Amino acid sequence: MTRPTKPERTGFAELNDRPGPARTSVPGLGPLLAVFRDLPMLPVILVALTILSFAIDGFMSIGNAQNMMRQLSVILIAVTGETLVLLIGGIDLSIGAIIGLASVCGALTMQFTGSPALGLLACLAVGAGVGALNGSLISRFGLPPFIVTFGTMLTARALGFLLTGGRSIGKLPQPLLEAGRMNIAGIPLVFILGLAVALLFGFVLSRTAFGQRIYLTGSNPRAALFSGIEIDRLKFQVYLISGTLAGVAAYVFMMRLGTASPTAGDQLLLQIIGAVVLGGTALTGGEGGIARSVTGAVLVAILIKSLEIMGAQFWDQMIVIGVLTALGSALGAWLSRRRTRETKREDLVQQDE
Amino acid sequence: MTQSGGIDRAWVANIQRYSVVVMLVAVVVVFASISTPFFTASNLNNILLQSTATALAAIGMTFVIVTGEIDISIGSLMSLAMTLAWMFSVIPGAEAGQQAGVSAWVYPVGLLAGLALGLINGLMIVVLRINSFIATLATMFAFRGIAWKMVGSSDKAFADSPVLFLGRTELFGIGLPIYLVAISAIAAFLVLTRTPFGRYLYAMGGSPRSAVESGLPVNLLKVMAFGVCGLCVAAAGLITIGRVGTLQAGLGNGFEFTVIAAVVLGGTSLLGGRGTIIGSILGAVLLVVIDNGLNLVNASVYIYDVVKGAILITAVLIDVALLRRLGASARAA
Repeated sequence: MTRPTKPERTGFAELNDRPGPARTSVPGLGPLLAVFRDLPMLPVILVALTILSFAIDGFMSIGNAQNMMRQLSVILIAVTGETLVLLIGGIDLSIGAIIGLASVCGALTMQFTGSPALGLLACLAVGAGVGALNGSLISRFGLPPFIVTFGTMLTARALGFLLTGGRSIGKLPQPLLEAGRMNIAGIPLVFILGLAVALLFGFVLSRTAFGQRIYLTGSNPRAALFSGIEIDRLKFQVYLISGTLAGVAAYVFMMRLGTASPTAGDQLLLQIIGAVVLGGTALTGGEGGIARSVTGAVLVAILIKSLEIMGAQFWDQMIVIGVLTALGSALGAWLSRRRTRETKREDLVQQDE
Repeated sequence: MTQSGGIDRAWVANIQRYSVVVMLVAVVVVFASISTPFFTASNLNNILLQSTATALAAIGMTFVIVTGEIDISIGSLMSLAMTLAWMFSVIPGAEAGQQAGVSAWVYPVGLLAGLALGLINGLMIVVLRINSFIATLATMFAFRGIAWKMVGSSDKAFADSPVLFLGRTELFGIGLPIYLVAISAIAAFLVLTRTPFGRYLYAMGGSPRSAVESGLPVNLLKVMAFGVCGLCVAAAGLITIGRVGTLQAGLGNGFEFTVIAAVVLGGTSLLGGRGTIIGSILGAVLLVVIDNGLNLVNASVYIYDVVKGAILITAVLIDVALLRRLGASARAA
């Protein structure tokens, strides 16, 4: 690689600024740096864990780890769906409300039939139903996702209230609660479920044609259209998946807490979007991934937990989450701009040679 | 204009402009026919008074949405601005008692705080170069947290304080807040349509790229739009605490969604570049009419949001369908 020195290049001052070798060529550190660049929140998590393990007694204990895994389980499933939606350049505000409505429907079904399997079916049906409604309104009629999912959020939430009169529902079947408390090799079953969903869709995104279509459509809808992707259909599928995953999240929510409530997802929505964006998935589409969202979710969980242990009030937690969301997304946006600059520069260098 | 599409461009534009009026009339007719107390002078006055806070905030939000940005922090912003106003205007000594005395400083401090918080939103977007949804999501958390930290869980009552004057005074039988909204609306209308600032905002929302290329101070305009929004929301907050008479930490919770819904119902495009002040105000009134009417016919509280969600989606559906017809007939012409 040679540094371009021709006079006509002077126009690209910013490109000539930092013409050093690409970072990946540093021997030994290359792969590690690449991972960090791909998961900007991973170093933050590692630093936070190191500090917290010294600062707080019992933070690294098995009990605390299990507790945090349980808290993460629902979020992991929900952020997976939201990530798909953001990657395609949309947004889904209804996930939290779907979790509320699906948990209520699932719980009522289980109360009447006593069957956890039928409860799961009800959760999935509600999630898929709302997801399909979102998807068809957005893809078929071309409505803005923000408004559509905002409307379904209001409606789903209100329906949950109508069904229960605003109360939460307890007395779920014993097998469900036992499964929620179960540990496999010390790891909570609910966490394994959450992780499995995230891994599955991580694989789908990075290794299948479906995943490639999502990235292409999100980063350049026009190119996607010209390369023969049926964008409308893809959008519908993504919102359907997002809704269905919210249904799954509702079921795991009931396993974990043993109750269902129309307000179950109220606190979750902003945590979900915050975690996805903090992890480094862009709202503009095409940039990001499940692994990033998982790091975002883990970071939020660590944060909430440590603030809790330190005895911080929930308003302090809110302030910290707010500041971190802003800084995290600023970092993500900066990294993404840098990467675009680098690719541009590499292109120029290649043209030179 | 050819009639090949069977639809006239001007007709479509008018429908778009007046669709919120049509909806408002329809909803009023429905409620007037099923509820006797609905269409009475006192109830209509009540509706107007109830919608002032939403309408005022919707005026501010229109400035932001017209530029293609969004501000979802306004509920928290209102809460924090009012908390700051309370802290700086509380009369020493009165704090210990049940009823806090507040001086007239509550007005300037509240408005200034709102303006400053709005500017913070705008600066974050411009300086950190992040999406406005995320930036205001972050401040939504942060502002609310700070407000909670300062107010605590107890309500602050305003007895005999000047803030009640704005909320509860009537002039010629009409509440003071209604005058305030009317004046603000006219001012905002003039600013948006008759000044370079307003036209730049529309230009920026319509095509951000050409706005940059034609040398508009895009960043400055954005920050100013968020400042206007913060100012309007603070005024809405003053109306709200003036009418309610207490300051709670939960003030404005969920307010952002009501206001955004009002603006969208009023025909302002979330993509930017299109929208009117009068539309946003009518959108706010429409939402309040729905609340009020459903309340009068003793509907379940939980139905309210179902109806609002459905109306919102229907409105956007009609809007998009009309835009498509318009595009099709323009191509045919």
